[in-house]
Formats: sequence, C-alpha cells, structure tokens
Amino acid sequence: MIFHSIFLGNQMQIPVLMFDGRSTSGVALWLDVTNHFYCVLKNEEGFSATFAFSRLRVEAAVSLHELTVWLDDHQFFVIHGELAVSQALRFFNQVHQKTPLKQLDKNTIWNMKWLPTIRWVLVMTCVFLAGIWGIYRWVLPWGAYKIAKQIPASVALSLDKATLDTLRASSDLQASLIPVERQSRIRERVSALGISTSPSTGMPLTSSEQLWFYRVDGMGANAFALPGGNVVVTDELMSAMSDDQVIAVLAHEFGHVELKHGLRGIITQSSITLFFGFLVGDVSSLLAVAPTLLLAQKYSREFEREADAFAVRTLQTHGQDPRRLIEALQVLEKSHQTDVIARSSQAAWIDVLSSHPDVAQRVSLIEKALNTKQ
Amino acid sequence: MSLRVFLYVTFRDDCMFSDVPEHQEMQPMQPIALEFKADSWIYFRLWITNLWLIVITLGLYFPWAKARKIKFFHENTWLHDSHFVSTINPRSMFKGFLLVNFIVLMIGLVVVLLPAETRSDQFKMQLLSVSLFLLVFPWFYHRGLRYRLHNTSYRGVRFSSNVSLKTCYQVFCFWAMTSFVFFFYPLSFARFRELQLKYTRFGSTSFSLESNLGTLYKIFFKAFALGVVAMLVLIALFVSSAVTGSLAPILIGAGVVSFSVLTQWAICYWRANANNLMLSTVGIGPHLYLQSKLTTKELFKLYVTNTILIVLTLGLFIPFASIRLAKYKANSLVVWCPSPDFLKVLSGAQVNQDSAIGESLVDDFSFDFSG
Repeated sequence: MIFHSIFLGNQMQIPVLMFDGRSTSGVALWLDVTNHFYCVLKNEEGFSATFAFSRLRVEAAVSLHELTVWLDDHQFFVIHGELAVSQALRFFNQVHQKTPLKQLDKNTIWNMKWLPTIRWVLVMTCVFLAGIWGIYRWVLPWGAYKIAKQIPASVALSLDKATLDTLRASSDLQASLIPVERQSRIRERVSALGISTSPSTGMPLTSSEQLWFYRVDGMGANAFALPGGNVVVTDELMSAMSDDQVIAVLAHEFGHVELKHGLRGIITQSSITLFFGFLVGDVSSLLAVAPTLLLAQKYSREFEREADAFAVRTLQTHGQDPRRLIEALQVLEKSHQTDVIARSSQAAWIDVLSSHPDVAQRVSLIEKALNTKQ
Repeated sequence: MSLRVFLYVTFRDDCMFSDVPEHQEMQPMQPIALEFKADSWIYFRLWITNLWLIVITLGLYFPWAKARKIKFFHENTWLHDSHFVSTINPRSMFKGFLLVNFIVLMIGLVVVLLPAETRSDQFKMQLLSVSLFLLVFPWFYHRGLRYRLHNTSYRGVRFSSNVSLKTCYQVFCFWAMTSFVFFFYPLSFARFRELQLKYTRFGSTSFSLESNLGTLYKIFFKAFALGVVAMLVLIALFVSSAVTGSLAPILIGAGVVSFSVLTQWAICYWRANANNLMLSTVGIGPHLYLQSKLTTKELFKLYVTNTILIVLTLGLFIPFASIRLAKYKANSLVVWCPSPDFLKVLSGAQVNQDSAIGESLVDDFSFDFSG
C-alpha cells in the first residue's frame, strides 16, 4: 500500500498523445491525474487546456494496452503502455464515481482480462470439436434421411433416367449376353421378392421393369442401385454366381433403394462439401474436395452394412438362406482380387479409404446377425 | 515549389506541432511497409469467443463480433510508428444487420408465397428474386463502404469515400453482370477495384488510380493459359488411365492432384499480379503512392498450407490462417513517401464544414459484407 501511493505520487502526470482530426500531427501532452474536477492537459511549457469530464468518452483498444479518450467526435488523446493505461483507468474510475463520464469502458477487454482464460478456451474448443463430430455422426445422417423422405419418387426416377441415359449414350452399357430365359427367371424371383412392400412408402420395393442386365466395360462383376430404384447387374456378376446368390445380391441392392441410400448419399456429400467450402472460404475450394470424399466414404460404408442387414431380413422372410449373401460377397471379392486394385493389402487404412467395408468384416457382421436370430 | 513551401502552403494551420524539421530539402522517396503485429493466440481466443457468442445468441451477436474483429485487425496494422484505428459502432451495425436480413427475408418470402406452378413461372420467380436483390444490393454496398471507410482512421484523420450511389449501381448491375461473359472478367474486376479505391480520401487528400487494362488482360490470359494447361494435363492423364489398366488409379490420382495444384497456382498468379497492378497505381495526393509486392509463390504457399491445416483441424486453424494471410498482405503493401515524418503532416478533412446530414446518415446504420 505504501509503495503504491509513493509510486502514484511520482506519477502526477501521464503522457498522452493528442490528435485533433484535422491533421496527422500528434501533440505530446501530459494528463494531470491530481485534478478530479476538470480534465487538464498540459504541454511542456506549462500551457494547459481544460475539458469537462462529462464530455469524455473513454474507449479501450481490443488487444493493445491503449486507451482513447474522446473529447468530441474528432479530437481525442491516446494513452499508451501498460503502466500508463492502468494508472489512467484508476484515475478515470475515481472521477466517474463523482462526475459520470459520457462513456467509460470499465470492463474493457482489459487487455486480455476480458478474453477467456486458457481453461475456458479449452472447454470451448472441446465443445466445438464435439459439436462438429455430433453433427457429422448424428445430425447430418438424420437430416439427410428426413430430406430424402420428402423428395418425391418422381424426382428420384428422373435422376435415374438421366443417369441411365448418359450411360447408354456413352456406350458404356452394352446389350447383355446372358440368355433371356435366365434373365426372366431372375425377374420372376425378383417380383416374388418385391411382393413385400416397403414399410415406409407402401410401394413395392422395386419392379422387375426396373432391373437391367448390361455388359459394362471395365466394371467387372458388380451390381448397383440408383436413387429411384433402378438396379443394374453386370454380365460378369451373373456368370460368376448362381441364381440364389444373384437374388441375395439384389436383396442387398433393394436395401439401398428402400433405405434411400442414393439420395441420402447425395445430400450428405453435398452438405460436407458446402461445410468445407465455408470453412476454407476464400482460400481454395479445390483442395477442400479431398476431405469431403474421405468423410463421405464413412457414410457409404455404413450404407453397405445397413443394406446387408436389410438383405438378411428380406431373404429370411421369404424363406431363403441368407448365407447365399455371404457366398456372393466372397465370390465378388475373389473376382476383384484379380482386378485393378491390389486387394492383398488389407490393412486397416484401406477400410478408411474404401467405399465398401472389408468383406471379412461384413461376413462376420452378417453371421453375428444370423446367430442372434437363431 | 520546394517541399517546404508546399508543406507551408498546404498545412499552414496544422504545422504547429509537426515534427518536420525546419529546413528540410526534397528527399528521395522512401518505402515504408505496412506491418501486421497481431498475436495469433490472442486472436484465437477472440475468435472462438465470438463464435460461441454468435451460436448462443442464434446469430444476433454477429455485429458485435464483427466490430471486435475489425477493431482487432485495424489496431494491429501499423504504418511507421502508428496503427490504424476503427471506430465502428456495433449498435449501428446491428441496425443495418437487422434491416439487411429483413429485406433479404422479404425477397425470399415474395418468391416462396407467390404462386408458381409451371417451370417457366418458377424461372420467372427466380429472375424476380435476383433482380430484387440486385436492386437493393448496390445500396447496401454503398452504405457499407462509406461507413467502413468513414470509421477508419490513422493518427486521428479519417478515411472517407465520395463514391456515388450511381457508380455502385453501375458496377454491380452492369459491370458485375458482364463478368458472366468470361473475357469481361478483368474489366469488371478493374471497375470493382476502382469503386473501392478511386473515390477514397484520406482526410482532405484524394486517392487516384489508373487501371492499366492492357496489362490486366495480359495477366488474365496468362492465368487462363495455365488453366488450359491444367485441363490438358487432366485429360491426358485420364485418357492414358483408360489405356493402361493397372496404373489407372495412380494416373487418375496424379491427374486430379496436378489439376488442383495448377489451377490453384493460376488463381494465385491472377490474384497476386492483378492486385499488384491495381494497387501499385494508387496515389494518395501528389506525394504518396502505394506499391503492392505480392508474389504468386508466397500466396500459393500460404493458401495451400492454410487450407490443409484448416481442414485437418476442422476449422480451428482459421484464426491462425487469417493472421498469417493478413501479415503477408500487410508486409507486401508499401507506402512510398518523401520521409516517414511526412505521414505526420497530412491534413484531415475540414471537420466542421462537412455536410452534417451526410455524416449522420453514414452514422445511422451500416451494412457490412466484407470478409
């Protein structure tokens, strides 16, 4: 306390820099902190100017140790430096209790005091990250499902039509070489499966007219579902599998249709793109595409697992053996092993990058589901 | 006329306390670079607090957050021995914020509520909303620009803009529209930069700007050529991936990566050189002029590292990225002047004779769209 007053006693004047708004030339003056009746500024020669305290607006800088004291809209003086600012603040606070100033930033950011402490910053950062994770994990899939349900079937069908038309036009799709008898046999069995109507829409899951057999260059053994319920099966898949196995694969594809995976995929992917575009903002939108693809793959893998579960349920209700799906998956894996992607490296990171989960994992999940049912 | 006489004639009233030595002779021009001295850690704390307050208040805190951010950036930008100051008032920004949101909401409601069954009707509705927005946006921008500049000052002297509303309408309703025709883009870019800079004043000193459209187009075509090269590389690698089966994923990956890198480089090339060209022709009165020294390489490095780090940290790196970019941009902007002391004898606007109505209008509410 004693040191304190001695210290203040030495500092009866605080150096300020005054500007009048009419030129950039600042004047070095002294603020007299002993006078509580008027705001007195002195220059070196002892010349002084006085101002009424009630006119003053005291503003604090956001991140600097700096006070700006406005005399009117144009004239002001600046107090700079940690020590000078703390003294001036103490002075103005004392004055303010007697004659209120026009404005006094009391709880000023004070320098750093207003800014949150490290503990709060950590809390906010963690909640921020948790929030983003929650949105990614739950809010986005839920929202996408809600939106996908609102989209009328006609829109999804027109999407299908456009996709199929472009594929046909680019001559990627060629007429199937599978015997017509086998095709119609599969169609019949599909119609039999399709009797089960979709629980959500009450419509048949898919019709045999929406099943397409094509020879597709460079795709290998594969089957894929479009958002509107059209399913394409390649010749290579047909020739690699028995009818039962093909039906199991188709049940999986109907799962994608019933659970609206196509539309949900489009919605989630575009929202992630938007989010990263927003994050990176002005910087570069091109580079933001990579993480989008990476994150969207997770949903895609979840969709596969969901479709597997759906296929198992459907096959069971129609009195067919769900183990055909496991066989079909193994056949697919074998046929792709000779293919482009080196499947030998079944390291964990492949699962992160791939759109389909590891086959062994899928098989074990299906078997687990079967065991719990029995 | 010697500098001393010039100073005496121009700043007769204001030289009382000036630090300019009495017998100063005309000196060669000196470069003074702007400096951005912010502490990233402090800015991170400020940013995350602002973010949370905006989220908690459902967006209503936005003007206050914006004001604090602008004040932070201004007061950390130094020229010689003084920093810039922003005197924006969040309350007036809030009024503008509410009005803008209200008007945009109304435009949206008009479009949603008016019946539109057929495709052509829907198209008409979209056209209506776009034109309604075009009708109000130049006005928003005009008010925002004037407010922002009026509330930016250096050593007590305010900037201002005497840009007319008509010019804003010309730039946004005509020149901005022409940029949809690809090769008009540089022209519309130049008009936009002129709108921002040409009508600016610092105190009583006017900015001047001469756009060199020939050079601007040269830069544009070089960037465009680089974009074409990027496209060709992408196509070449895709075609070759179709031919060679086993290397396909690697070739497609290489194609995508080289395409993104090359186009990003082209964008940086355009940004750096176009901004250098426009800013380097800016004169402030007869004795000061600006020079911008952005380089494609540095800008590219900053953009790429910032993007990667922002994505990896899910956005937490954003404040650090803004500080890095602001530091680089400030450092590459140089003010040439006869001497550093010259910055201390510039005169302000004639405070009391300025139209009081104009000022109160500027102060009434503001719109803010910039970063």
